[in-house]
Amino acid sequence: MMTTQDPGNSTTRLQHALAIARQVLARLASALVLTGKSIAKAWKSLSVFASELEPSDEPLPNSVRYTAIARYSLVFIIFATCLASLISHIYNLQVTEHEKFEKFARQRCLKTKCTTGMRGCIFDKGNNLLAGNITTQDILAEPKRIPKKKLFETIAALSETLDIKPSEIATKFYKIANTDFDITLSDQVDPATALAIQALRNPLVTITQNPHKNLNKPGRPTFTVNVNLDNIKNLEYHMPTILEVAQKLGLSEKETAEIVKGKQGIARPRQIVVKRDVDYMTAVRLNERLEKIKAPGISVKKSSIRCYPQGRMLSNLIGVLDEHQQGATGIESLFESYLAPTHGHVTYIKDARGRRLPLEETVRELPAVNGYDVHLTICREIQSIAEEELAKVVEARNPKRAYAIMMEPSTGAILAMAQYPDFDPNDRTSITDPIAMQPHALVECFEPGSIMKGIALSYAISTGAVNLDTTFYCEQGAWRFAGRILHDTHSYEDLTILEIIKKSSNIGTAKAAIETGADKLYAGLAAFGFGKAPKLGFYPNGQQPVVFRKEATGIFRPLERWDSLSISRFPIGQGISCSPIQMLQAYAAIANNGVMMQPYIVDRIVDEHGVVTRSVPMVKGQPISPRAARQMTEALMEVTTKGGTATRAAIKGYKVAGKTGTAEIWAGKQYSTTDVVASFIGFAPAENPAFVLIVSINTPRPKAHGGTIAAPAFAKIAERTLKHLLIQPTEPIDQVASQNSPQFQRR
Amino acid sequence: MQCWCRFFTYLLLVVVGLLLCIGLVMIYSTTFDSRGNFFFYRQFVWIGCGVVAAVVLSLIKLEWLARYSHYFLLAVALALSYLFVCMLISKLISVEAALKMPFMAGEIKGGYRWLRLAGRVMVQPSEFAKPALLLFLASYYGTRDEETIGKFVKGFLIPGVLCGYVLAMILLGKDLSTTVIAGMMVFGIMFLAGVRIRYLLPLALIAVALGTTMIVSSPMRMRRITSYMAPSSGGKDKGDRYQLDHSEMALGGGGLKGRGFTKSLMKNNYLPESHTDFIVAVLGEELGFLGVLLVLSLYALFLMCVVGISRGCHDKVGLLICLGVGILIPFQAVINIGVVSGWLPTTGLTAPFLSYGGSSMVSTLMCMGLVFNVSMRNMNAIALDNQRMSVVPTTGYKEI
Repeated sequence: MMTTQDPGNSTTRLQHALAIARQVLARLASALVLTGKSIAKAWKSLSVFASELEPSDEPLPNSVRYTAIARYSLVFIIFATCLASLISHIYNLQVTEHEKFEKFARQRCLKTKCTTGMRGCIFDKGNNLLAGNITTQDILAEPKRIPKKKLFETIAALSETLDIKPSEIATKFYKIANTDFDITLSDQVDPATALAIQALRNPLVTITQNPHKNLNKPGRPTFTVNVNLDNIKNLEYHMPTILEVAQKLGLSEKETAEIVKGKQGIARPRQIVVKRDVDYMTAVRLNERLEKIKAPGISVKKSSIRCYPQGRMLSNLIGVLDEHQQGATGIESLFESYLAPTHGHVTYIKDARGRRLPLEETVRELPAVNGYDVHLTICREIQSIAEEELAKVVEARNPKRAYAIMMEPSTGAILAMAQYPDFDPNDRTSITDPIAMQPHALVECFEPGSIMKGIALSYAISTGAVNLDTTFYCEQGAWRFAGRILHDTHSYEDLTILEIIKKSSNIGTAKAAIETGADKLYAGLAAFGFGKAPKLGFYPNGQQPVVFRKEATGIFRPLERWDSLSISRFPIGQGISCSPIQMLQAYAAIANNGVMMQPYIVDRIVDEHGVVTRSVPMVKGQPISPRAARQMTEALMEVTTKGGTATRAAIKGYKVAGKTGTAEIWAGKQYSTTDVVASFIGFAPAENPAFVLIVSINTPRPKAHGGTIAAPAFAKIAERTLKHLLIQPTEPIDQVASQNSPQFQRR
Repeated sequence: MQCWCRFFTYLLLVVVGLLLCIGLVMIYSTTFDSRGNFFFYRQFVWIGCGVVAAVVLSLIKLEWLARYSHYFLLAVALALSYLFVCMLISKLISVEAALKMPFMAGEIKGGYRWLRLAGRVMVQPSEFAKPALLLFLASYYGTRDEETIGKFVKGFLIPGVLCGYVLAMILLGKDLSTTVIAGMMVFGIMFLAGVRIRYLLPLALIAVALGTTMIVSSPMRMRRITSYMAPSSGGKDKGDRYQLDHSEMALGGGGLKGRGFTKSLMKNNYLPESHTDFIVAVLGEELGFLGVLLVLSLYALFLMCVVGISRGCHDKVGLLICLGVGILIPFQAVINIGVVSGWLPTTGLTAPFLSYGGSSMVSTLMCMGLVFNVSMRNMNAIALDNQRMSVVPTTGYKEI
């Protein structure tokens, strides 16, 4: 536009501009030439450094060579001196001080690690597992080690394989990742100082109690004091806080600065549990996923959990573990020393990152030993029979407690021990009653009531004071003795001892006891094991037995504290108490021709390599003569026959000896009229007993007698057990078809 | 005469070959657990490169090498200056800008010392400064008469300034140890060539003073000195003494006879740089004091051979090349082993022929190429001498 309007002006301008450009170019060119010249000059001046070697035929003039060689000798001397000094230094280092450095190197490279074995298992007599271990994997995470880029992928992998919500994991990680650093100021703080620091009420300071390493030797509690920094960059800002705490700890400013600046004060990134007890395949899948992602910070640790595959069966007796994986109750606690694995240790050469190197020479290893396996004398099949039948009674009568315990009279081995209430050891929330955790059949006692009569009278027979035909007048149901009236349930007149047992006459028993004499009766009952713990346990041959520690001894007054009433009440099971096991061992003596065996619960203990330590049956004593035992068995057999108190305990085809008992429960001031312990104890087959069984129902509702609830339960358990043990019927069964008769079914 | 020269040449070949083999074997032993054959094969490649360079250098006529010697040095000086400029850019502008420069490898181990040629191939110009300085000084002094050498400007200042510039550039690349060893060689050649002691002595004093101030001014170097003075902590120190402690534990643990081949403990990630600068520590741990003694005696033998070859020289250039290599390599070896054993404070110097590392291996073998060049030249010259002195054979003379 401008050029068209004012062409003349524009051409002059153009010319002007061209002129300027020409000038500039000229100057540039001259400058270029100048620089070129100077470069060339510099290049030429390089010839100062240049050297032209001319090939010479002549050897080097001696003057030159000698100067060089003379001067080189100086260099050579320096070198030789250095070399000699160096060699002597290295000789010192490698040969003279070899041991010192070898020690250092070992300290640096050797690592000792604890190894643990598996806890021993608990089996029944027939190798059925009652308590075992399941190997599980714990998934642990160190959120700070996970790089931010891979965090999302890692969380996705965790949530998909472990079936946890991603948001849940993310929240957990976020919490940990944001508590940036813990500076441990001291880990040995006494309680008083810890309290003083607590009083500062600083939210950055955390005080935690150190775990006891040895639970059996509780020492003084110690605490760890940490100062938590949300970000290491804020260190300067938090320094006054740290110093304040350090002052309480008695650390000087310089020491504190050293702790804070030295890396040892900064705790490792914290590890959290993502999920416990994950099964093996899940852990493998998770590992595969994580390997693809290549993210650090997630680790899988092997651990094990105790598992009780039989569920509620025998739960009271076996017991459970506490949080330290040590036995808390029952067999688990009693045989802790056998079941617990022995820790081993392994010393190996590690590299700088702590990994084990495959160098075998210097490795020391004490291998961990698995715990011993404990085999109980319990027979799982009989146990389940007893538990099933007991459960039926419990369902019908809803008692406070109920037991069905079976023992082999010839050895003293406990074959079954059903207890109510029980619990599911795999689900601890099922423990509603605190007593349920314990083997309460051993721990608690009860007034036995009439079942005591069998014991008292068998002793009376044994002493010769009475025999089965001795007759006592039974006062028509009420007898005043020592100022108190003793009742019978029915009124009787003259009864022989046999009939006293059969009809369960209180007055007759009391009179027979008086006939025997208090001192003799006392000695007899003591010989039967009353007043002493039955010491159920493990009796290896020639070794110290392992017995339950908290067993009930029962109440059995010493003779000097017997009053005038005692002689009439103790034989009928009042004012005396015992545990079911005590009663069982006493009846087993009657069943075993007067020889009382030591009851035991553990059949054998097997170590890792299969070496077996067996329990051997032991004779505990002979409270009564074989003759008396046979006579008493005869009398007890009458109980289950027609006219006896426990006709419902009879089993078709077998002779059953037994005794009912219905003991009123002492309710503070008097015997309760509603609450009773209904029991039946007996053995079958009566001539050659395979087992003694006690069924005892504490406080059945509605109230019932031993003959009405305990005896039928006894019959069912005993019958099924006899079949299980394949014991031939001793009595002719009238009609085989009668098994299907209504009468049989009713029973 | 020729016989001696040939003997020393072959002995030198055997010594260098033995050292290279020991180095290869130790590199294999040190790195096999962590990296497999990687470093072993790599070192093979470097040795191959170095041998090719050495053969080429030994076949080129020494006259030609001498004529262009100052250009080689200038090339090295330019490369070092370029690195220095890059460092300045990174300090003054930004690290990113410095990385944008061509051939720039960035900061490695606290200094700008590497040039990236292509991909992962990197060279360290400061290592190549050693043969370049050697060749330049030998040819400069070798071709001038004693009178010129005795003068201040031509005999001392001109070569001194160029070498000083190169050394300063190496020093600015934060490579004190290479500066020290190269400076020692420069000083040594000047001294041997006959530069007046009255010029050299102040230079030496200045160099010592400069070195001391360098050490005192840098807290890192100061800590290295103090940690060097401290007694061994048995590996508990995680700071400055860490490397020295583990090196001492390696050597001391080795004892007289060593733990046995491949049985070093300290190579398992404990000792940093165990396959490069501290390879002698692993050697001492596995083969014991006897192994270290063998290596040291090989270096001493090396020195003997080089001096022996120098005896047959017909010109001063060859003489100075031989004696310069005789200073450079044995002293570097002594310093390296001294550092490893805690006799000297820690610096980063490789053990010649033993340590893993491309540039250092190639540059060392290039020096060897120069020595073999000289020895072959000597043998030819001596053969000619003999021919001339011997009785002329009657037959076949005309054919020659």
